Amino acid sequence: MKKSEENLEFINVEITYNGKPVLTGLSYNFSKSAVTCILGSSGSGKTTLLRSLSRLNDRIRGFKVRGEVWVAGEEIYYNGVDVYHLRRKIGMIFQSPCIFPTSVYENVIFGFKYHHPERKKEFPQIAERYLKEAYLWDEVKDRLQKPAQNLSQGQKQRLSIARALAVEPEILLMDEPTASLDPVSSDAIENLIFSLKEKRTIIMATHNIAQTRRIADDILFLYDGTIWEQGKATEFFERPQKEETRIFLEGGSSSSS
Amino acid sequence: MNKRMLDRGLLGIIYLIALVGMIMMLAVLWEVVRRGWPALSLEFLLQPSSNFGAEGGLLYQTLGTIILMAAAVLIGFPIAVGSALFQTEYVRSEGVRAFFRAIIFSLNAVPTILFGLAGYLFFGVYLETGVSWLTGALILAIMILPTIQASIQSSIECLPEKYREVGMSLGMTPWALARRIVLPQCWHGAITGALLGLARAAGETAAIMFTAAAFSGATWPRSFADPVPTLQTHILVLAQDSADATSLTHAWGAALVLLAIVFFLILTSLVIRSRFSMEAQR
Amino acid sequence: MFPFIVPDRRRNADPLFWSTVFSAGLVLATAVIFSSYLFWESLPVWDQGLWAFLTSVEWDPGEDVYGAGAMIYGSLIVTSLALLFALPFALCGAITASEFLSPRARLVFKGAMETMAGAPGVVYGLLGAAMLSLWVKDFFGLIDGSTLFTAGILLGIMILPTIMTLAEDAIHSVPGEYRDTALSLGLTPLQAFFKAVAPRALPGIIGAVLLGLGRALGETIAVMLVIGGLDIIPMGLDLFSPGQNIPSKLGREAAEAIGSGMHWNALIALGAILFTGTMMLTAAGSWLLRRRAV
Repeated sequence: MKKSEENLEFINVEITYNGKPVLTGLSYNFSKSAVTCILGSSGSGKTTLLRSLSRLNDRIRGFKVRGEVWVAGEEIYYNGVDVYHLRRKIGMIFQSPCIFPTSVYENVIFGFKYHHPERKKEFPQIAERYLKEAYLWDEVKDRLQKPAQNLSQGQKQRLSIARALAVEPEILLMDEPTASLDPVSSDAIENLIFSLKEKRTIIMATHNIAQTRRIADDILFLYDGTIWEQGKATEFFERPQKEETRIFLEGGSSSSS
Repeated sequence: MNKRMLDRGLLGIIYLIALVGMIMMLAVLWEVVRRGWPALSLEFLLQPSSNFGAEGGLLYQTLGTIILMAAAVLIGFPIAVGSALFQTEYVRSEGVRAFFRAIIFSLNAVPTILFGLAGYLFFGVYLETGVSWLTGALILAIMILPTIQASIQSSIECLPEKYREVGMSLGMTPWALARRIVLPQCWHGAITGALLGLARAAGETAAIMFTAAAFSGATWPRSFADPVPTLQTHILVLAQDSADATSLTHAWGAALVLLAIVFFLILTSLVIRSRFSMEAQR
Repeated sequence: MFPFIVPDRRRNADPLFWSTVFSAGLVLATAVIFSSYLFWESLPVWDQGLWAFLTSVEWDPGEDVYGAGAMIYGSLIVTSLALLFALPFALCGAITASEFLSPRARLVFKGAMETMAGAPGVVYGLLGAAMLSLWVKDFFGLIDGSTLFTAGILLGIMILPTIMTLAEDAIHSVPGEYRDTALSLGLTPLQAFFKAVAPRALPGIIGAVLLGLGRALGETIAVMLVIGGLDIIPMGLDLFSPGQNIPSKLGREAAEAIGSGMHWNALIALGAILFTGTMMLTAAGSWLLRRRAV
């Protein structure tokens, strides 16, 4: 069975860790070129769901994925899948920005350099292009060769987004990308997400409801290890179907900052 | 009030005992320096020994020690790096890692004389390398393997998993992760391990005294099958018939040289380690 | 096929993978071959009666009679002496360094101890042969200064820095809150140490001592030069008699017996006993040291 190149879908997926189910009964087809927010309280499996899409839990023993996970026309837990090729197509942004202890420049081209070592001449252009795309160029253009560790937390997060973009992923996974940032940096990232979704599918885990209202097209609400509610963002916020969703939204909106 | 006094007194006693311990350590160092210093001179370092160690210098002994320790690290280091990377980059089961850790711990605790016995039989007799510097280097390589590997592995395990995950999310293979992310950030662990391994090999006597070392007559090795004289065994032989005053002076001189080599290696490794662990905290 | 390894389709083309498998396999093989060799080669000796071998004091390669009693006795005595001698200094040094030195002074102290812990055994051996044994001889009015006592003291000095630095680690790793709580209740720093810190550091301290003992048990050269080299169990608890321990015996006779015959089997059997002893001490020690964090 072959699916279309642009397909991103869970079909009846169950994820267990050491035999205990983390997520069960997942079936969902993600929209292309849109922002899908995964909502849910801490420990509801948001991170696990994201990581399962690029097989990042391979290094941890005890994680088992049953069912089908389709990414760009391939079932990715099938034995013959080239996991490195898969991960190139899927970028991941982590909760706290992780910057290598080298210069800003080396950080941006880190992934590109690895995949295209022969295109050495293009490195400076690539760095500029993706730093611009991540709205970071103006702030760092004078200190490309300086250590990236000196950037602010928000700049570091945009730098890690630029680094992921340079590998030209079709899908971008973001695991609470603004959770460790101040409100101003947070706004910058949100704007960035808006501009990125034109060309890429973005899936973002968050528990910030106000932020979800601003940027989400689709919403997936995880509760009790499964998809509790799903749908278009507008409908979801106006007419939550279930009691638990309403409690989450009310509790969240009164305490969200 | 009385309790206070008691407390003070107890603290005083603890300080005193600690101080005596420290003085004892310093006395050990001081005696080696004091007795070895008169023997030291440029000729002593650069001349071959003669008359069964009573005359001449330490040229070939020093050379032999350096050859043995360098060869041991050259053999042991790549294996240690490989085996450390296998466990940190490919093994994902905690149980298997714990099993390997136990093996490394056990190898580290084996009395060195046993490595000498078993190693000589395996290399010297079965593989026919005989009493030679090659046998000694192979035995020493096994002996220092756990030291090097433990140092590398602990520095790799200190690297937060998030660095690796970024590399993985960019589509890198384990080989690329190791080369571009793990080793650039953990090389100091490898260097520290190599230096500690050198120091251990330089100070080791029991494992090489009947497998690799010759006392007099030998110079530098002309083939793999030649034994070499070493500082360690030189000291041992001179100390065993400690009657003759001049040979004893030479023994102290050799001890001072050996101690200087070993301490230099250990101190360098400590400096590298503390510098980089501080950097990691920042 | 191997669930403990990270799954990966491209592994066969990964140059790193097979070389690391090779290295890890080599380490594994070394450990397995080495330990099984020790026990395999000592089988002929066990066959003649394990108990007799362990208790008999007669060791005569000429008559092919082998008993390990004297060496085992010597090892036990020398190691216990070393422990008794080193313990007070090591513990007081560790307490002082961890609780009462400034961070900077502590760092220097630790560096010095770790460096001393790496000093070659043969240097201690020379000190023992050329100085300590002469002092022992003169001080106690003996004919010869090479005795079990001399070996024990020399080993004690030798393992002192090892035990000190490991015990210091164990004490220092007790979280500061324990000290602060005790101090805030009005205890003096020393009382705070004994009442709040020491109980938590105890497993680690014992671990440090066991690791030090493991090192003392296996040390060859330093002991060989000062123990006297007589295979006897002296009458009573006479510490000022020459004796023999296992590593020293191996060091003296390995060269002449090498490779074949009952003499070699007997030496390897001694080695197997030594191996078992150090393994037990080290395993217990490192288990306790790792547990300390809890």
